[in-house]
Amino acid sequence: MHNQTPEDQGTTAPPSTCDSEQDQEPPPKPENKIDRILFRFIWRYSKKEQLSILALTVLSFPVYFLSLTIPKSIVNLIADEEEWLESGTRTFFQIKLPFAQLFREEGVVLFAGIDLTQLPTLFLLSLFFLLLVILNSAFKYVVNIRKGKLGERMLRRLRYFLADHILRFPRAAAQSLKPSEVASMVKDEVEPLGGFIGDSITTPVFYTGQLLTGVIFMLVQNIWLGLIAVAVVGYQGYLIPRLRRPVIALGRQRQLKARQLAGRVGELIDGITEIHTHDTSHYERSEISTRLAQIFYIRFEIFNLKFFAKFVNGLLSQLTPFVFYLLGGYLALTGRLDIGSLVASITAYAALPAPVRELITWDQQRNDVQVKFEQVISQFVLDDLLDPSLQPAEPGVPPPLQGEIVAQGLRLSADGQALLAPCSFVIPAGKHVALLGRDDLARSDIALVMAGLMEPEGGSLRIGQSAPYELPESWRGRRIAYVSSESYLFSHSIEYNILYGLRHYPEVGTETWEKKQKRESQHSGNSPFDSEANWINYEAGGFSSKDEMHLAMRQILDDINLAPLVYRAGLRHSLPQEMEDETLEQLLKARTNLHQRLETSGITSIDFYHPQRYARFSSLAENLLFGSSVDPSYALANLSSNSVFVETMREAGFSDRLIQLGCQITRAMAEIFSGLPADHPFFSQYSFISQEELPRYIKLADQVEKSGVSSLSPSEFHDLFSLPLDYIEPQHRLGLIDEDIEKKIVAARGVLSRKLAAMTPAVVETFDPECYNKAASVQDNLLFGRSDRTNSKAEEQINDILTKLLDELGLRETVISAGLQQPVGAGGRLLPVAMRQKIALARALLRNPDHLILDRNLSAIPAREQQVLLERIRSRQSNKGLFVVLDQFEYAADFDYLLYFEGDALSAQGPPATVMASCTALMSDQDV
Amino acid sequence: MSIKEDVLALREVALFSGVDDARLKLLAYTSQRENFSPGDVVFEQGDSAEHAYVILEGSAEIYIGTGDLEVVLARLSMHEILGEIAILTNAPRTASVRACEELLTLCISKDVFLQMLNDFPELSVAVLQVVASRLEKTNSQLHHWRNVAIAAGAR
Repeated sequence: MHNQTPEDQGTTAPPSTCDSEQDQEPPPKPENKIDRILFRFIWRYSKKEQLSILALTVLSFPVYFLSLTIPKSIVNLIADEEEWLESGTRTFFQIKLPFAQLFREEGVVLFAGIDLTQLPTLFLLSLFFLLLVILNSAFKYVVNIRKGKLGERMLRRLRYFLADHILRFPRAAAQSLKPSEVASMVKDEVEPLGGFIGDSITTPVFYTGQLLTGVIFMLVQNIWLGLIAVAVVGYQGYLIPRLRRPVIALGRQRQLKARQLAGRVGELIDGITEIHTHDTSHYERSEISTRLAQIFYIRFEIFNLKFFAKFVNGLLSQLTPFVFYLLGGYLALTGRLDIGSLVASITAYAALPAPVRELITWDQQRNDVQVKFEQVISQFVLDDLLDPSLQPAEPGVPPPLQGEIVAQGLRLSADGQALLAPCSFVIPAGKHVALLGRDDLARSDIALVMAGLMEPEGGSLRIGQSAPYELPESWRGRRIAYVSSESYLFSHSIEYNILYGLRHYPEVGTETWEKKQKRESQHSGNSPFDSEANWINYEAGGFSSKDEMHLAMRQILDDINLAPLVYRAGLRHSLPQEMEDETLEQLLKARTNLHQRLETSGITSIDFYHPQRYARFSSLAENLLFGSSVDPSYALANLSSNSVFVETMREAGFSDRLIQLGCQITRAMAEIFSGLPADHPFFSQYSFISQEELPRYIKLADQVEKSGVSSLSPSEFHDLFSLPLDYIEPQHRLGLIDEDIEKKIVAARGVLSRKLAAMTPAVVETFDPECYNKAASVQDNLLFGRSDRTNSKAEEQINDILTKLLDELGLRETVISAGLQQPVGAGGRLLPVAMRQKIALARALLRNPDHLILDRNLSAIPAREQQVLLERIRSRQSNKGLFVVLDQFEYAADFDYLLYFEGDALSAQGPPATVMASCTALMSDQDV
Repeated sequence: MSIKEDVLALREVALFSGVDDARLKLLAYTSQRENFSPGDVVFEQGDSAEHAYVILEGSAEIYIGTGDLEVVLARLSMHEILGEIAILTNAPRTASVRACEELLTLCISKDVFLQMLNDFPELSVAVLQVVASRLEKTNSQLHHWRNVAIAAGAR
């Protein structure tokens, strides 16, 4: 096969590399530029909305003004009674033609108006006032909603912008970051911006307006007093921002420290094993304390400066009235100013501090968020961000990447340190290459270059015409697969992780979002795609249908021995919620079948669940609950603290009996462990009660004997009550469970079951021989009982019979598909490392890559199995590229080509026989 | 089946004859019952020794080798103890044991057994006596076989 890449495509990112089958317009790329200045960012993306909010605010002014003047009219109406007495009526709503006086002295009356007497006038004015109040509140409501929406929309845009940039971080840059610091930036640090953006334009305009009105009014009243007021306000405007400047610097520091704290807290979680192993918890505590102290002192300093500024501001505000009283009073007394103007000026000035204060607060907020904004943005706008053209969103399947692999003068370095001296090699298409070495630094990095994840320092590495690190991700991400020992699993199901490598582009027409959601997403410059659409591109893996892809996945599970692990995971967990009823029916039948087989095999050491029978091999709690908890507060371990459970036991008349059993266990423990020295290991290993607690429990038992159960305090009751819940007669053998008590337990179980059945949503799914229990594991459902733990041989037999039965009934696949739905946990931590590595490998294999690059990706798997897996991988990749970093010489013997590295140099290359012959000395070194 | 019955059974075991009831109760409580069906292997030659077993019901046979080369060394029945020496010497099992019929045992874990010896000198003395008597038996057997060998050599 020849390279199908058109020659003119060269090595730079081609505009579209994919054969789009759907022949559709690519979706519009969301506009998302960022400015370092917050206001530019706000203006660029929200000017329309800001202006409309501003217009609404201005519109609300007259209403607000009227609503202030109406009360005065009402007061006047009542006060000016004399005037009313004269005429009796007044005219309202008279409309005159404007400027009509110019040609007719009495004007032109268009509407004669309505003459009203005093009482109807009062009603009318009051109604008008009510209307204005409602209108005013409505304005406020609408403006607030719109401000909030605008702020949140901008915040969404900003956060998306940050996430978008994270996705464009070069791999090396991303790896040097602390995830929790980045998370704290995206989540917390930008949060205050949302609240501010809505007010960012309206507030200053509004209050500046108020301020100007006040000042002009004063200037009109008396030019000198007005000028004094202007001078003081001006000085305030000049001084206060200067006083605040150090506060801003401190704010920046505080933000940085808080972010680092988040990073350190993340490290405490990541490094918890090391902290416990090396007894460094106190060091860590003190380290955190130091950071908290730094944040505290910075904050304290901020308070000092901030409140000093406030103090100065307050003083200046009060200085003006002082001057007014003194100077204005002097002018008035000496007759140069009339008292009316002075009073009006003082009144007007009294209204000035409010807008000034608001403006200052706004300015402070602006500074604060501007600092936060700059700080965050500077962390995300890196110089070497991947160009968006390297991540085009493209449907379809790109052409294969074929041809010789040619390295020419390939040179690698990291942080100025040379990793690989210039080297060259040529590998024919479709050959399998092993990278071996000794004391070398370069092999993993060559694998990264090959995968397009790293750029060489000099020289080049090409597959056919293309250098992987120059290809857009839409091409190399569908043609080259890379797996290392640290490959990451996402916190989702096993299947999700295996299919993850095919999530390139959503299938057209499978979107589930509504138009509104899509529009809103566009408003905030977010992704044009619906994440709920079908994203699995089976065609990118070379499959013609979804079913074919699933079959291939199943084959891979077998090839890399992942299937047995998934099967076990499926058996030990409950089925996923969306399982079909048919499957449940089948499993239910399998239960009956299993029970018959166990019987014919002569296995009697198992107690099947029956609502009317006590299950001997189950604990008392299991017998009472007789079901699987859906709500965690009903889990066996939490039962004794569950008020419904305790209350029901009381109602069923069984709680006193449980207390009695608790006393019996206490006495038995006291007898068995008497005379044992303190801190004897048997206590922690075997006793129901710890050494320190034993005397207290004995006292409690005595107390119950003397004064009855009612004398116990609630916590004492709880202690004795919970004691027998874990008791299993055949295991503990204290002789506490007789037939009578078994009957009582079954009766109490009945009362509890009825009560739990009535609860919605369901908290417990009760065991029912006729039903599949969705809350219980598959294994528990099939066995539907407990086996005698004292018969280990029988337990093995039961497992064998179970597995055989499932195979015969063809249910193995069902269990495996249930296993595939099991969650892997954060970073796959719920699974053993070997299983994680296999899942990562399956993800790469499912993509059917032209080139598979493996870097010690099976390190957690036993050596013998590693070799088997490697052979299977090789046969899967026959006639395709395979590039494996290996540590064992013997695994490489069958490869087509070896590259052997020593120090920072490629010291030998060629077919294995040649390389091995030329460095037998190396081989013997390897064996040592 | 309660620990009271287990205590009664332990009382019958020669090794524990000198141990008082309270201790036996602790021993019974910290041990587990284990069932074996006829033919089940309790442990195999070469296994690491993790438990000693007291037979509560049924019988078991001690054997070495496999298949045709199998040689049964002894048959143990109720109230006899199995595998206690190996957990003392910390060595792998020197012989295999299998249930002859339905076998019910009390399985004493190595940790418990050693802890018991540590805590109760009377038990240590009892074990010492058993080991000494075994050694004496072995000596006399050695003596016997030496005589047989000498007789055979002289012939």
